[in-house]
Amino acid sequence: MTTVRPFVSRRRSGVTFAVLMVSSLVLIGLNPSSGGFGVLALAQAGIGSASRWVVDSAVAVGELRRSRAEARALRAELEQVQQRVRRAARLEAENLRLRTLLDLTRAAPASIPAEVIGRDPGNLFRTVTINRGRRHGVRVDDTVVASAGGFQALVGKIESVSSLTAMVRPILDSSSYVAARLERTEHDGLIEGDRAGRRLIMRWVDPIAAGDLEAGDLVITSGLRSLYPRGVYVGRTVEQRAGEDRSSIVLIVEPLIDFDRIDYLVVLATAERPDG
Amino acid sequence: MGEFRVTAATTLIAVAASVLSSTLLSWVAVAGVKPDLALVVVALVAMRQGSMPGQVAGFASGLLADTISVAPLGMTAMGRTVAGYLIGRMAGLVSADWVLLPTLTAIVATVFKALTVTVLALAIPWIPGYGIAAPAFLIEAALNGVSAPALYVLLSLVPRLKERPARRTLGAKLRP
Repeated sequence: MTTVRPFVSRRRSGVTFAVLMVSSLVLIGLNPSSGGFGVLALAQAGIGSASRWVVDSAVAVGELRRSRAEARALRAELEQVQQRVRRAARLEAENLRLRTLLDLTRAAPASIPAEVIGRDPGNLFRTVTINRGRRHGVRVDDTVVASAGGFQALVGKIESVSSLTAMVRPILDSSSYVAARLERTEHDGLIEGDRAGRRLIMRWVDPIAAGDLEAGDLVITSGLRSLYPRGVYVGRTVEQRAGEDRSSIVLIVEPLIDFDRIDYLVVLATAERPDG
Repeated sequence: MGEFRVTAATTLIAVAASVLSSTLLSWVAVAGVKPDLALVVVALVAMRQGSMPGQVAGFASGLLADTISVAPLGMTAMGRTVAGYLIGRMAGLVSADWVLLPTLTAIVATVFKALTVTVLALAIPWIPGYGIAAPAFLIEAALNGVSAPALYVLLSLVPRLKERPARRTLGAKLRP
């Protein structure tokens, strides 16, 4: 004990480093569920709301100043009209998006509209945090969809849930698998996320399909032995490659969803509920 | 006591940077890649103050990042701990201006983090590796490097982090 203490004192930094490394390894090995997620997600929600408020306020102040200046000048009217046109286009786009969201909600009765309040802090994973949780009926493994170009497109599944928030694992994640089908030719395959995290890879497609395929073919969920319900749009084919064993072909699929810009989504209550 | 306060202040700032990364920074993402501000904070403080505040702040902020992600708990913590420790070991060895030194430090810290995650990915197959030549890594390294001088100036405003400990030279023993 008498020899350990001076050593620790002398090598404090190195000893701390060793302790932290061992702690990290133990945590990775144990792979516990993220108990702090709920509390931290609330912090994300707070910062998200506050930042939106600041930005909205800044935009509002800017628009007011611009309007005053424009009122004094002859060219103000033209500028105002242009602004109105831009705003109308924005509102129209938002209206369309919200209407599609409403349609999604109506089409699937057990659905929960949600807003994105946070994204993965790192660059290796693409998770998003939403402002709906257990209290709103969200459960682990529920399917998450969003509107994209008039389609109900697959976003991913619920990975973890706290009381007021939930974390979504997107289908882009390399550990995500989706049983999929080509809508036009009805050939099945298995979709997984690309390591680069931008596109999807559809494997185990029958090579017979190769002759029928066209670039831009729509891919939907097949519902076969899968978490996801049948008929949800996933993406469009962009490229065809030979499979590793030549007994199948591999398709590169561009997701319909732009995962970097997704703001609103809908949770479909597809996971099993204890109350049935 | 001084080192404890520096470590505590660094940890708080790095934790705040981690939370910001999950909210505001998605607006400045390039091709979906964001700067790792917490890592840059950890690296810059380690560069000035040594490995203790760097590694502790790296571990704490990394642990927090892991809890708001599907990353295995401990993965980001380990990457930032290694970066904070190694940059801290090099503290005071290099001297350059306030633009070049922070930029290089941030890029080197990103390389340390990426190498740590890559080694982990070799051992644990479900952890996605970085790939040093991958676009995501290169963009993150560039964004970290670009944001470092501004963060360096901001950190200089924090009194606790402003005080610079006595300089070491290569091979010199650590003070007890």
